[in-house]
Amino acid sequence: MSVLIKPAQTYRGDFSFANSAKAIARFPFPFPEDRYLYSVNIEPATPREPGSVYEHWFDIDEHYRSEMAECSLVLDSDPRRAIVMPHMQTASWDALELIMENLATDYPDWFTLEREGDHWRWTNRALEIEQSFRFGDEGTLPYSPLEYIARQTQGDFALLDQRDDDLYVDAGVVTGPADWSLAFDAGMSFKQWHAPVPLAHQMGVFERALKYLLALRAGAPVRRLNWTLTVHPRLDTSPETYHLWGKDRGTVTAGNAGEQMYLRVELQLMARLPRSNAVMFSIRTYLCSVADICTNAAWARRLHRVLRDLPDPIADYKGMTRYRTALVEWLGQFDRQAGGHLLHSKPC
Amino acid sequence: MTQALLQRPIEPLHSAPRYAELAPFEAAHFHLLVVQHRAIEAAANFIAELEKQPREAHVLCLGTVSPLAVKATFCANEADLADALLRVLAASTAGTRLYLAGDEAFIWRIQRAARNAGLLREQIAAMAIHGARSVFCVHCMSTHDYEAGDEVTCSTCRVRLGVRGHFSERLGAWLGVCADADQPYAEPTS
Amino acid sequence: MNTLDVVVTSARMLTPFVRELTLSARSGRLPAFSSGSHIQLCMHTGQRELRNAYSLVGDPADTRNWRIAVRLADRSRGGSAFIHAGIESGMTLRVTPPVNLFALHPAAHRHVLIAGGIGITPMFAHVAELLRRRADFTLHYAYRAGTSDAYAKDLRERLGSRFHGYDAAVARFDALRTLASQPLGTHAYVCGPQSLIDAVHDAARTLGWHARRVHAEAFVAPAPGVPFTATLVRSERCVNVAADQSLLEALESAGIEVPNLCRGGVCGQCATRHLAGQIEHRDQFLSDDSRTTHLMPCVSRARGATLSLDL
Repeated sequence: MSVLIKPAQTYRGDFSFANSAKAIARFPFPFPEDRYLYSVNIEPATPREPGSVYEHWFDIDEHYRSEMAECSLVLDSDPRRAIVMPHMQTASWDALELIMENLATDYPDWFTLEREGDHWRWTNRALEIEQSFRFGDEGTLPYSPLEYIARQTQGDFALLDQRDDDLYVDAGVVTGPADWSLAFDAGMSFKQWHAPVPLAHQMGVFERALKYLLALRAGAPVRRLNWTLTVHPRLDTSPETYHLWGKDRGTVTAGNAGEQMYLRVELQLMARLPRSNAVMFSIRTYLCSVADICTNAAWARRLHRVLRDLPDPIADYKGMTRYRTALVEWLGQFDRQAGGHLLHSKPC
Repeated sequence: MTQALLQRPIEPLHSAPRYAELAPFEAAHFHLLVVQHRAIEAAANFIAELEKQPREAHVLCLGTVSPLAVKATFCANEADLADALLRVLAASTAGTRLYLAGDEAFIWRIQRAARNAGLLREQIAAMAIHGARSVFCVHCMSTHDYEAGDEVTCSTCRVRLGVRGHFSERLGAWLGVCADADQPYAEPTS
Repeated sequence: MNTLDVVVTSARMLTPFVRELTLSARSGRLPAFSSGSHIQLCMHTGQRELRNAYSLVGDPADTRNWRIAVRLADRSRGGSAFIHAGIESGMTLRVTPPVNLFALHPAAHRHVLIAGGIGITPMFAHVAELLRRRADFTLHYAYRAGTSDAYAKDLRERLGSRFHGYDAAVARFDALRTLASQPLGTHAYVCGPQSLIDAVHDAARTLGWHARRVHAEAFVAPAPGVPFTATLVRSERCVNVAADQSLLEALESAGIEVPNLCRGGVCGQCATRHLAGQIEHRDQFLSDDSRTTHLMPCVSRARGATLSLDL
C-alpha cells in the first residue's frame, strides 16, 4: 500500500505543518502508564501493525517532503550539522545501504534501488532524484554517503563506532535535535553523550543500555521511544539556534497551550552495521499538537497526569519549566473525574 | 524573571573530567610529565617520586628555567612545547605514561596532541590547578579560554553564554549556550 | 536467533589437518561483514545438534563467497570431524549471520597481528582489510610446517617483509622481543592457543603496555564432562546434557534459545541465572561474585548430577 505524501509544509516561520486525522491516529503516544519513569525500554524492532509507525524500520509518512525540505534548509545554512570522522567512512556506506535497501523494499512506489556489482542506481520519485553511483567511491555522490541518504530519509542519524567496550558518536547528520549538539557531542562515549539526562545515570539505565547495544546483531535491530515537548511544530530545536526558539517558551498561556504546544516523540531505531561493525542510531521524530493529542480522551487524561506529576529535574531537563503550569492547567479540562489526584501526596 | 531561566549553578555531569593527585605508574617503561611552570609547585611531590623511579623520566615544562631533580626540557611557548612533546613521543614506546599538570585548558590541549600521537586515554593522568578553562560556543562554534564563572561572553560572536556542566574531551571544553533567549547579547552585570 | 542457508561451493585441504570450505548464498546476497567476524555453523551429528563458531577467512569486500578453514581437532566433539568428513560440495548448511568480537581498532597507528596455527583464520581477513586501508601492519605467524601452516605461502608472497613466519621446528615466536620494538601507537591482535595468548598478555604487561592495546580471540571449544540433568524451573522442564555436549547445546536441542555470540565463555552474552546445584564454572567472563548467581552454559557444567536454571 502506497503512502500519501503531501506537498511541503513548514517547520519554521509560518509553521504551516499540520497532521491529518490519519497521522494523529498513528502517532506513537509514548506513555504506557499515568506516570513517567526512566527505563531501558528497548525492544526488538519487529514489524507491527501494518500502517503503524512500527511497521517498517524507516518510516515514511505524509510529511516526507516537508521534512526533507527542512533538512536541506538546515544543512545548507549550517554544514556542521553533518559530521563523518575519517574512520567512519565505511559506516557511512553501511548506513546508505541499509536505508536504501529498506526504503526500496518497503515503499516501492516511491523508491527503487538497482544494483549490479558495485554499480548502483537509486531512484527517489518523491523528490524526483535519480542517481547512479559506485558503491564505495565517495567521488560518485554529491555528499558523503551518510549525508546523501539522510537528506532523503526522515529523522536524524548518529553512527556510533564500537571499540574499547563502548560506543562513540563519531558520525551523524542531525538537523532536528531535541536540544543536543552533534558538533559538541561528536567523539563522546555512550555515557558521556547521555550525560545531561538527569537521574538516569544513578539508576544504571545507560550502563544496561550500553551492554545491550554492544551485543546488537546485524539484521536484528532494536527500538525505543523518547519524548519531550516543543513550542510550535519546530523540528530544529538545536542548541545552535536556541537564541531563535528559546523565547517561544515564554509565549505559552493556559489559553493557547493546546494549540501552541506539541508533544514530540522520538522513535529510535538502533541497528548493527555489517561492514564497519558500527551501531546506527536513527532518531525519527513525530510532532503532534497537544490539542490534536487530546482528541483522544484516554491520551488527554494520561498526558495531563504524566506532566502534572513529572519530577522537577526531568521537567527542567526537557525544557518545560517556563510553561509547565500553563500547560497542565490547560490539560486539566480532560481529567475532571475522581481519581485524578496526585497519588504520591497521600500519606501511607 | 531572567534569573529563573538560567541553568542552575553548574553541577558537573557524567561527561565532566575528573582530576586527581598524580602518582607514578610503577610498570611504565617511561614517565613523561608535561607541566605549566606555575603548576610546578603543586607537582613538586610527584616530581620527587619520579626521581625515585627505576625507569627513565622526563619533564617538559612550559615556562622559565628552574632546576628540577629530573631531566627537564624548558620551552618558552606552547608551540615549542607541542613540538618537543611530539619529538619525545615519537621516540618512545607503548609502555609510556603521560602525566599532565596545569590549568584545565592547558591539560586538554596537550592531551589532544598526545592522543593523536598514539597514546591511549588510559595512559594519561592529569592534575588541574585553578586557572583558565575552555568554553565552546555552540552558536558560532568557537572555543576560547575564559576565567571561571557560570556565564561568559563569547570572544567571537559576543553572545552571552551560560556554561553548562557538559564537557567534551575532544574539544577540551565545556558547552556554552545562549544564557537568555530573550536577550542573547546582554552585557555582563559585573 | 535468525539463521541463513548457504551452499558449499567448494572444499579443499590446506594441510592434511585443515579443511577450507567456500560458501555462497543459497538465495540473494551474503550479508556483508567486518574483518575478525565469525559465523556459527549448525551441524547435526548423529542425533545431536552442534554449533561451532568459525572465523570468516575471506576478504570482507568479497560479497559473493565466504570461506572458513577448520582444523581437525585431536579430541573432536564431532564438529570438526563432521566438517572434514561429513560435508561435501553442493550441500546446504545453516549458519548464523556474522558477529564480530575481534575487530580492528580505529586508533591504532600500527597493527601487529600474531597468529598461532589455525588462529591465522581471522588474521587473513584482517590482512585484506589492512592492505586496502594501506595501514601500517605486520603479521607474525607461528605454525608447524606441513600441518598447521595454512595460507603461509600465500601470505609470505603477498606481504614480503611484513610477514614473519615461525616454523616450530626451527624458530620460536618471542612475544617480548616483538612487542618491545613497537612504536607508541601500536595495537596487538593475537589468535591461537591459550599459551600464545598468555605469552602476548604477559609480554605486554612486562613492557608497561595498557591492556587495551592487546586484543585476543581464543578458539575455545567447550570441554567435555560428566552427563547431567538441567531443571528449568520456570518452564518446568528437564533437559539432559550428554558428556560431550555443552549445556547451551543441550538447551538449543530442546528448542530453548539463549542469546549467545562466542560459544566459548568469553563474551558474557549467554549468562543465565542458576538456582540450585553445584556449578563447575569454566568461563572467562564472570566475576566470583557473579558466579554465585550466574553461569555461562556455553562452557560451564554441573559439578554433580543436576543443576537448576531460571529459565
